[in-house]
Amino acid sequence: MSFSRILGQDRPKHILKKTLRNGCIPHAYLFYGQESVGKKLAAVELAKALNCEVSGPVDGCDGCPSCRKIDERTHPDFFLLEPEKSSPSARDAILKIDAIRELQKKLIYLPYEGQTKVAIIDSAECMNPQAANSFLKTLEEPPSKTIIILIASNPYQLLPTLVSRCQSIRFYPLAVETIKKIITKQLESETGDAQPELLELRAQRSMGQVARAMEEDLLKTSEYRGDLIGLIEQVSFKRMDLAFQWIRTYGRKTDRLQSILDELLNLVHDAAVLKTNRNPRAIQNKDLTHLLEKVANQKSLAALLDMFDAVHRTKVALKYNANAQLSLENMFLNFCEAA
Amino acid sequence: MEVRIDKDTFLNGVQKVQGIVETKGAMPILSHLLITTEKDRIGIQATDLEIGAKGYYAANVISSGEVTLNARKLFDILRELPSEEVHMIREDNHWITLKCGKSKFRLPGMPAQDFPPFPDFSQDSLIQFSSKLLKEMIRKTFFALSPDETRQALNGLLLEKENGKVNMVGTDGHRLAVIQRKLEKSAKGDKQSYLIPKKAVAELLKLIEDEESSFSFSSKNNHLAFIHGDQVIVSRKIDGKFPNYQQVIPSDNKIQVQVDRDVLQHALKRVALLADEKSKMVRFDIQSGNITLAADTTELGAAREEVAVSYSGKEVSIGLNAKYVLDVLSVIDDEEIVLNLKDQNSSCLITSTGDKEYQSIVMPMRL
Ligand SMILES: [Zn+2]
Repeated sequence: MSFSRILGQDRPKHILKKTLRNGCIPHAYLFYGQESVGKKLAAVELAKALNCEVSGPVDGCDGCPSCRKIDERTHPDFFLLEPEKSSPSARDAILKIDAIRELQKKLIYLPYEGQTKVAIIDSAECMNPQAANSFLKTLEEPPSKTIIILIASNPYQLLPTLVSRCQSIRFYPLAVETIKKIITKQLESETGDAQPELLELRAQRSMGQVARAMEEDLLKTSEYRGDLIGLIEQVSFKRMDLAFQWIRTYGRKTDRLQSILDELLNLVHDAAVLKTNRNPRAIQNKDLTHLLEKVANQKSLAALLDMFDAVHRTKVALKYNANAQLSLENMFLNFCEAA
Repeated sequence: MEVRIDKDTFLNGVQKVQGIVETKGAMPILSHLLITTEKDRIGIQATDLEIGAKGYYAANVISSGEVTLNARKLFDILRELPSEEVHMIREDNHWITLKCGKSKFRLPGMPAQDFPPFPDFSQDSLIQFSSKLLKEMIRKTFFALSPDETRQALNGLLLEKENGKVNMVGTDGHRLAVIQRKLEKSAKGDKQSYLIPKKAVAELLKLIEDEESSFSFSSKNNHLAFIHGDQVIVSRKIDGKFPNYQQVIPSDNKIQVQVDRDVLQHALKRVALLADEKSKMVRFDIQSGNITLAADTTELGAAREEVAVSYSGKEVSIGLNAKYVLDVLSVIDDEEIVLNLKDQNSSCLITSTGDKEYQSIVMPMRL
């Protein structure tokens, strides 16, 4: 029924279903794993199951008033906190102490109409230390009839004291087939058509993340891959001109640079994978296997790892607003040294 | 729906629930009031999902129905209208027309079926209070509640019923106030206790107007209710265990100092002017025949004042939060109060000579 709306994530689903059947549910969960793999969806389905008037507290039915209100976010015992930007121009969204306090005030009451209050804190790592410390009090003295679900893609940024009070469930990247099923549905409902060959490409290059598979740029950036493989193969101190030419073309596409560099990172990664175990199933750019095998044959593993490192560092530098041209030149110098 | 209602009656009903309405929040409908009709009266209700209030007011119901209206706007409009009859008509698409005298307003409503259903509360009275008694008990305990709304049990008043008596207790962890009163008509029975959320108490106080009427208290599942004639306040219960307050009340207090309440209150107010801003600590040097109140800070300066008392034991000094003591003094009705202490490290129990059933405890501070 309701848990079946979550595609993939068999292990988390199995754990949750088993816990619901046994009836001894922990006060707090931490759902962690990469972005866009179904953590929030699972948390919402858990809230529905706990309060469902038809098949609760084992599963949700999607049809009863309680399930409907949770889906519409109007259930008085269901709370979903998400990070907010303090102003439209602010760089990062945060979970503010005021929002956390407001939630804490609401949690001191017994349920309004449901069986169990459920509070979901999405991107819990966006709590600032003040907010996290305040919330720790609630986890230390958990209100009764309440389940708290923290969701994090970087659990290491959470206070260890918060993590230790939660039962952690890891969510893994989704399988290509699962992604394909999910995005087929989404694309069909959005645009009315889903071209099978593009779906395949999107799913393969999604890194198991739905949002990434749905990115508009995903197919565009994949067009850059041919050029990028050429650079990995050929850039050297003798052929720096290739690098400069590439920088002239792409260095100014600042809004897209991060995703282009992601492509580069993936290509180097794939080449390194082919070099070590020659397992083409573990790579993301399957459609380019023949080109990547050529790279893998030509470069040493150490060189590929150095390149990987250089691209990664460049990505970080650009995130902190470093000069794009200098950073990219620096990256290609590292490529030359590795080559 | 079409209704004619006296403007002052309508305004009074809207004003009573105004404090509950959420002005900003995730659910826009909570900033609205729900107005329903019965045979010859209308119901006005508001909720923030924690506290709900509902009252009935006489009206000429021409045709039945339900509407929601923005509480703040309706209140502002009614306040400015002349004291005449208000004519309210629901149009299509949830729009509402209000006519009064020469004024006409059109206001957008929301679908009434989206308004949260009023919680199911019990009509069976567990405790019957006279307004006067309820007001006194709240007034003498409410000030001691914690302002921190995230601290479950300390954010409510404890209401206990036992053997024909009723207790009310408030504490913030640093001070405590407990009052016990006899109930006029109450069967003996097992002890029952309830936690009344601070917010519900604050709304309840607004309903207590004349002292002649009565309030009945009831409990059902997750909700408590105070019913007062045609009006009811329903509150969700709060979670958590109230501290064992009996343990906190010091016994065996060898030192007992009797002092005039008014004199102590004024002297303490003056000395507290120079007390440390944060701790508000004033030192009470108790000796035969008088107490010297003293505040001494390097930034603000020093203040001292002597107050005559009736005491003849050994000398003892204690540091107390002046604000906490003043809060207690301001709610005691008797002329003479008693400071009860075991020693300088024990809590100070404040009572009055005429009322042994009201006790306030203030924790001592390090001198
Ligand atoms: Zn359901």
